[in-house]
Amino acid sequence: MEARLRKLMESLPDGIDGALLLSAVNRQYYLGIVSSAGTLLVTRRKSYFIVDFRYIELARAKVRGAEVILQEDLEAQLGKLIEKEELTTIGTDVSTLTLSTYRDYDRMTGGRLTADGRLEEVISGQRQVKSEEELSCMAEAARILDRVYARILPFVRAGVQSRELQRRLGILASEEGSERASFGFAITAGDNWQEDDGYRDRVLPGRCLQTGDLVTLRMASRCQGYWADMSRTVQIGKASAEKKRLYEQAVKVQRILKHELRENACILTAVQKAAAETAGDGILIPGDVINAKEPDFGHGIGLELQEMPELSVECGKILKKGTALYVTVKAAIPGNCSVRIGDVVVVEENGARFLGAGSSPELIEV
Amino acid sequence: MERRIEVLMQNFPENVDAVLISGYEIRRYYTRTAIPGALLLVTKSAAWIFAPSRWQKEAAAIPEVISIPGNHVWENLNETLCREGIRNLAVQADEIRVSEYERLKRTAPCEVIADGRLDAVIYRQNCIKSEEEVQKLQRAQDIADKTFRETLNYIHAGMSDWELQKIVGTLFLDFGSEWDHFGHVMGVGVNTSMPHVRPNGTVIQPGDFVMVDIGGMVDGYGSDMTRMFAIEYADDRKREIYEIVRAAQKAGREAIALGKPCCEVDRAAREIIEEAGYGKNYLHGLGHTVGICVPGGPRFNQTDTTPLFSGLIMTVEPGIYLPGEFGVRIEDMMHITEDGVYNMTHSPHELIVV
Repeated sequence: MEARLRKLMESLPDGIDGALLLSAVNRQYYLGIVSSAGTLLVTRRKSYFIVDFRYIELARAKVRGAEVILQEDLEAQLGKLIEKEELTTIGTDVSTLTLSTYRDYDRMTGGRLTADGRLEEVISGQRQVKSEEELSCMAEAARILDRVYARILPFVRAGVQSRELQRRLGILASEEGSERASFGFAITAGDNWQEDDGYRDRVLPGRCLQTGDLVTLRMASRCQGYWADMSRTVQIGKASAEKKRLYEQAVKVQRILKHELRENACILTAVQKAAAETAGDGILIPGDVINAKEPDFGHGIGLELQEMPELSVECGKILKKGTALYVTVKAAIPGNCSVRIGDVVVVEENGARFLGAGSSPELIEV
Repeated sequence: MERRIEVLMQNFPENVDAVLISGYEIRRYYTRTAIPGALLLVTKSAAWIFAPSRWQKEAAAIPEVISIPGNHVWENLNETLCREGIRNLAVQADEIRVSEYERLKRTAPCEVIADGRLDAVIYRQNCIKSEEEVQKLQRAQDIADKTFRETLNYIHAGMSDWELQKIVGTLFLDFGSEWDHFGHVMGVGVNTSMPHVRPNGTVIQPGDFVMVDIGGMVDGYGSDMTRMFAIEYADDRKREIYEIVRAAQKAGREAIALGKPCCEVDRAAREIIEEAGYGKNYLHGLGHTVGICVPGGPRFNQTDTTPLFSGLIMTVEPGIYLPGEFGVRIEDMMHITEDGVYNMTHSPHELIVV
């Protein structure tokens, strides 16, 4: 954590002489503690963490590289530090902070806050590239999902309600050691081919699985704060040649992405190469099944389930070694059925490597 | 079903042509549809939803709202603002992100207002729960009461708090809650001294307190309750603290009355804990509003002077937290109406030993 803070101190953008970080995820990343409150002030010279009595003991024991200060009168305390460090322009978490909170802090810092987005770019660039330690947490989270998937398969049967499967996923994720049990689940079959992955507020369909259904399972798990995400599609009963081809197409596109998403590759180029495979035969591959012109093959992952960069045509960024990504491909025959596979990978010199076992190359029939 | 968007249209802040709802929960309240990454634009006579393409189907199904699908929601919003000749647009300062606000100010073809007046209008409307909403919350709470009662049958010493989490999460789903993760606040033993404790693998010991701060969810409406129970026995110290909190919680509930400032309700409970000598171990306010997330709603704390009004649903949840020992919190959900104050939580307040 100390090295992370130092790196941020060294890479503050020109014209920004301090960073005031208020998001929980940034506290976790730079300080190594989980807390619902606390103000991290980073300058080129020194860092400070002001936190209230609830977390002070934890902070004193765990935080390295920042001076820990018990919060009393935050405004006065910030004022003193700003004067001492001679700060004039302070950046902050502009994409997560609400306008009200921003205004409060702007007042407390004597109008020194800036909504300049460059600071966040520096931070997200830094967070994208994972250390060995971070990758080992993510790999463990991915292995938990592999075990959960292996154990859920015997329950994916005709006659089982989707709700029951979801409950089972929660139990298995808990048993296999995920810090947070599984969340999403979606069935893709016939009339609801457009359904997206499980979303936290999705009301589950009460319908039973039937022979002939393509079933998509979406699972996530967390290990020491780091997420892994996974999508799998299996067929109940015998799959038609068309469905098998659809599945294989999705695997093929994911393989292209895995090959293209390598160190120093441009995301845009990789996404375009994969998207080029998607045309024809009424089969749409991009994650966004409705608008094939805007393919979306996933995003970064780490302390948050969804981080930068986005694997879309709008992202012209160059990949760095160690970047963790959730690479997902959805293939659909509009009005009929769809397949989704998704895995966590890490970018390496010659391509991306699965942190877990990866999808089966052939459609599994259960 | 009440027409929520129409109510908003009738209560626009003065000199505002249109309002933008960018917060997920609030947008869900107005549209009764959960769509992430969308924007809701409302003028005095019409409403539009700008939703990413993948949510096109859900967006199109919202009654009396014009759906404009496309992944570039902010650009699509600006086009509509331009076409409709909107001169000024109010946004919620408590919801809009700084980066979104900056972008809107830079690109919108109209003035952008973020002076807090829209926030106030929306909070007021959100806080007054309709019958439909009360029913949903009551259903969610009934599920939570049932889950709590059933949980007691399974918990014993030697079990870890992860197993507790698994049992509670499973029972919730079985009883019909739609919350599909198991991330409730709960803890055992010394961990209960942290108000927002989460399971960490601790094994339950005889004599431990177990804290469960749990809620069911029905149509996006989440209930909220907290109960403690003891494993096998509770020593005198635990019983003493439990009874203080129980008395404070009762005093808080009984202090609720229409028109009374929120801080006075807080005081009624706080005094009991202070008089017992544990004022410094009571780390938070007495309660908050419940339902669709309303950050700006009235709160039972030491500073909120909002007079209580009919239609509110609020929690009453005093606590005492003794670092290195244990903590106690008891929480109910109260519905405040013209006809009286109703406790929506039906689990007992007496200390349960299992």
